[in-house]
Amino acid sequence: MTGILVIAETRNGTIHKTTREAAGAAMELSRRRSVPAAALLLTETQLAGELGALGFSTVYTVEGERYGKYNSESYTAAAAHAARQCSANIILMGATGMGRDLTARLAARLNGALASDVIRIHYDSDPVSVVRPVYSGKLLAEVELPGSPRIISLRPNVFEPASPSGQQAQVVRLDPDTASIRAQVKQAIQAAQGVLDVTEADIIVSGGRGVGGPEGFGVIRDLAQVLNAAVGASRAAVDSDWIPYKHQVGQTGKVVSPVLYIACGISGAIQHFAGMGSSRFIIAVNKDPDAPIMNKADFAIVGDLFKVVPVLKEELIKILN
Amino acid sequence: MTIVVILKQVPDTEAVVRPDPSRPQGILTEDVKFILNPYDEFAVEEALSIAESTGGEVVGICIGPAEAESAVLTALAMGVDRAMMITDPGAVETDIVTKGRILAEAIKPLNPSLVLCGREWIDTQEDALAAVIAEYLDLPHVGNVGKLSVESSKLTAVREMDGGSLEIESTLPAIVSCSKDLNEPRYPTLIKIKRAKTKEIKSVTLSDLNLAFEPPRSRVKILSSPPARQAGRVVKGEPDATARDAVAWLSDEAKII
Amino acid sequence: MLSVVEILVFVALLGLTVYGFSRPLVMRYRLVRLGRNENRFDSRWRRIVDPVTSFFFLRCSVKKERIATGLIHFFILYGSLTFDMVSITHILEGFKANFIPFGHGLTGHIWSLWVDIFAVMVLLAVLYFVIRRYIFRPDSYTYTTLDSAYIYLFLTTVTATFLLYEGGLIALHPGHARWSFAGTAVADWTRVILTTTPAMELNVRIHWWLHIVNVFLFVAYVPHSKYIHMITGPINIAFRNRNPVNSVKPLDIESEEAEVFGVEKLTDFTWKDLLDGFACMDCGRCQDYCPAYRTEKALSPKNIIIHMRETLLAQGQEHFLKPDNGFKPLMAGTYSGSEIWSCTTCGACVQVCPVKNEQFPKIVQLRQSQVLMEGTFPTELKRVFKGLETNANPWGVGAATRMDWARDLDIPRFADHPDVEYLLFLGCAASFDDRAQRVSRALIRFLKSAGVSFGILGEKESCCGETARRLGEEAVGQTLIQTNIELFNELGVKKILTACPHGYNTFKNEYPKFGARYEVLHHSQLIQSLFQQHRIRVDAGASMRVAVHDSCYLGRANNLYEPPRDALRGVPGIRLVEPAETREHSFCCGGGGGMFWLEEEGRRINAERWKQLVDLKPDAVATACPFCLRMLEDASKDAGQDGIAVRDIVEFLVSVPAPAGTAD
Repeated sequence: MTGILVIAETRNGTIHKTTREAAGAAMELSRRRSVPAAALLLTETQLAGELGALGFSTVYTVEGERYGKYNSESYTAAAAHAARQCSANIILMGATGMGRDLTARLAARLNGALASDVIRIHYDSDPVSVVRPVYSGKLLAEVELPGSPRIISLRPNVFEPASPSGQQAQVVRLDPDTASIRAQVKQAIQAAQGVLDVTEADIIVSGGRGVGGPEGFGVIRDLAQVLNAAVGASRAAVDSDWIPYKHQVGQTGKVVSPVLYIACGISGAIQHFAGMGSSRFIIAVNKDPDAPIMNKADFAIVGDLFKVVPVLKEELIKILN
Repeated sequence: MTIVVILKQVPDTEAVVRPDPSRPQGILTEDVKFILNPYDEFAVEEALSIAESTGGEVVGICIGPAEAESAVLTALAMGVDRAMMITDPGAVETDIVTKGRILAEAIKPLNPSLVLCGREWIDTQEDALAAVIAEYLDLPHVGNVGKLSVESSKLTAVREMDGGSLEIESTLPAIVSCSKDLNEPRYPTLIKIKRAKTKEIKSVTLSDLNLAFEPPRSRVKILSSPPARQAGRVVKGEPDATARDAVAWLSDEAKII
Repeated sequence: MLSVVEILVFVALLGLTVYGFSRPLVMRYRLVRLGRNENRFDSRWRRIVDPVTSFFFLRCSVKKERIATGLIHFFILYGSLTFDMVSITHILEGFKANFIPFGHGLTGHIWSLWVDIFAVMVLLAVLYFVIRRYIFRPDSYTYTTLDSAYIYLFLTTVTATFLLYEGGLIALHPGHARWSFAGTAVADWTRVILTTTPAMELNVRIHWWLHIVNVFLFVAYVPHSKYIHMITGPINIAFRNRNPVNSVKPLDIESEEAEVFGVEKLTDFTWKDLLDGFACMDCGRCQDYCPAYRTEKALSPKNIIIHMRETLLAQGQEHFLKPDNGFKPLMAGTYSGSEIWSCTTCGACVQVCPVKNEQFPKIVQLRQSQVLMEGTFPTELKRVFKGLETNANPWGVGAATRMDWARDLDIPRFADHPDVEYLLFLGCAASFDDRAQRVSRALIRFLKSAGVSFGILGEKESCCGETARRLGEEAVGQTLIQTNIELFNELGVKKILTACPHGYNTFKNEYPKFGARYEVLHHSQLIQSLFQQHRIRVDAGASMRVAVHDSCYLGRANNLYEPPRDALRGVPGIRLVEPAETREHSFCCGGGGGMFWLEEEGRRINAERWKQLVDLKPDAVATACPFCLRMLEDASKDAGQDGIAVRDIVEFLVSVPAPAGTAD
């Protein structure tokens, strides 16, 4: 077992960024260990050429309705089949929702070692060792993987994506065993924009007393929409009836821990902080440089939120497109 | 129906965790309060409310050192009927895939209709358990479920994934991992904590499960503290400039976008 | 003189009346005895003197609240006592021809005058109450309208029939008049209407009977009515709580036999709790002063008592008939969650209750069963309880970060300096709330400059247990208390200084019940004594109108009204102004009783209090409690009036620069 396999994800006719990142890591491993790297493409197989051009020697594809939407059973069967085809010793994937689910089941199917949400790979170590955050990111664990194969999911936005080369990959269509599927996807529910609940959103844009009134939440909502974020609020804003209670974040509201929390016009007293202090990153926009939130934020902007937030939105639109 | 809930003890979310200098793959445990993995509470709550409506027993299974009994007691106080604890070092100090395999063996004789676990262990930050157990039991699984309804032979679950969600229908038995949108876990009251002390906690060894020791497939070599988080940056000035700084910070340093 | 038949009828009526009066009283005694045991027999002397003086001097109702009603009660009380005597003489008059009470001497003359004065006064008093209750209709009186009507009616008929009897008698025998001015007036009218002696004799006989029948009916009615407070009120005062007002009774949480923790059913209350129900005369003073009721929340302390009484009468009597019938949980029908979870434990209800009922302690006991048995409480509290349990503070912020705010300060640790005089117990608010942290900075600066020797616990400090216990989480509360006691004992703590009235009350009034006694000082007391000993002097600042807000846990709970005022008076230039509701009538900030951690329903209490304070047009508002400080400052911002600074007393004494790092 020597090969490297990347399991690809696509979205709306494009190869997902995390797949390009996994390809980047795969190419690095491939180069250093002089082993071939293959990719498995389960959806939108018309992208096989583009995927192959990232440096893969082989792109495996599958066809059929059962691959239309992510299904752990059919996908696991296909991935295991591909892994055997290329004698994969290392299997990489982006640590997306699907990636984390599929790698888990695959690891058990292949009786291998699993490392999820990896932020660093020691490419030259033997056996492969990786670094992943543990204890809510309070520590980093260097993990060695004596088991085989090694199934690794990579934290998004960390690895350098592979850039397209002129290389042409061999496209091989697989016909994996079709075990019975017991868990069927009935429907995909897309979260409607702007109505995300604060407890489930990865990004929250929150407004407080500084927002000044119900109409002040307009700029907050605009920014939230651009970021596909939920709209939060401090108790003061909710008590003033500017926004309904379900948006309230804090000791007496919802307790949230998003990846990014943008606090606009919120002083950030303990009653609010207790509800969002475990956010991974905090950006604060406040006129008052002495507001408690400014001390606690990773990035604090001293200024009028009505001037700063719209610009922030425009800048984000630029970079996101 | 019998429902199995997988339990784990973890350090409190607010605990200060530091690598143990004498044993760098572990953490210093003095001054650290241990709790039942918060996501497991959602699993326990869901198991209890399903059992309350359908009748049946809820069995907790925990891999952990003897001290993890307090987490098991929390689950028993919430209402879990009985529990099994696997304290073998070979089970406690191994990787999640091996643990899943051990748990699968422990679950098998109970022949449950449903196995529930938390969506993630907050200490190791791993969320693979449901899928791994399901694979070893050759059962379907649904991970990160925010809504669940169980009928006699099937379940319907809403799996939260990457900003959207999937409605999934599955046959039973099945394994489900529970997210915090699922329910509001009940409070282990004083009277229930007292009563929990009389409930059965059965100790199970690897040999009881006919399992031999297996070397871990992955192991932590060393724990280290991440580079100290930079003190927050405070910028002031023209809105255009400060907003651009913020966006640059988001993409270059925080790496969120 | 009564005929034989009349005597038989009289004896029969008397017997019926005795039966009619005693049967419900015995029933009520049996109902009260359904409660759990409780020792209320300590300090016996006070338990005798207090009710006697309360009764005869009406110390119960002649208080600042409703002073007119209180004074008018003198007429009702002494009128009633007079007419009790009159009832005896009245009967004697029926049995003995020409019996004249106290004769024709001076005593008789004074008696005749006295009776008439009180007859008239009772009628006037009734008129006052009728006008007040049925025309002005204060909100506190909306409950027992019919019962009141019966009482007013009986008071009127008893008095009126007496006057008609007396007048008729004087008409017949003018010599009986003595100084009976009212009887004489009635006699004059009688003589106009009735002209023959037999008619007048019949008139006297009829009114003798009408009076006695009315008296008997009234007597038999009393035990069914709130008028029973004439009897139960003094008894309730005799058995009043003589411990500090706001001190949660420790539950035996270690008990393995206990079936119930806290109060789940009626029978989980103590007999004294149940007695409260029969002592209550539904006056509604507690409701008038309740911050929750005043902001239109579901809670009325009066209803806590009245609904307990109604449930007791219904379920208790049923229980006597069918002993197998268990008592129903109080939270299923008698009380609602919104009621018991909106009490700030400010203690105003207990403070103003004329018969010393204990309203809010019942709420705490109900919370205990909800938390310790049922696990039913507002969801946000789970976080508070878990936070207290795992991180020893109600926000659940990491215990290790407790001193993060003071990294730039050099504060002596008690553990390193065991010889210091005071343990400065900062408390959770002072450690985690950024506003209270500023007070801590000021306090530490002040203590250092005043040369006070103190040390802190640092990260080892745990919540004092106050919040958990008021929210009914006795197990978590007691664990915190035990942790602290162990630490204090290990360190040899003798004197505790704190700037938090909640901590103060807990250390002073609750820790002793867990076997730990310390000398406890609130920072206002320390500042007061430093001023008194001339150990500190503050330079004159700008002249300032400062409105004083009393913290419930400093004031009502511990009677410390002067120390914060004296501390402020020590600052030249400060002129104190007091809101209408001040000192023992201080209106709560809304943060007590754990309400600080709960989402408030409806109008906000802090906004209500803020209005009262702002009416004084102050330059600043002073408090001596970190929770009041935060609640009032929030209210000032909500009202857009944050130009009026809210400050802790110590912040008037020292000015503190902003902590390093916030102003770059």
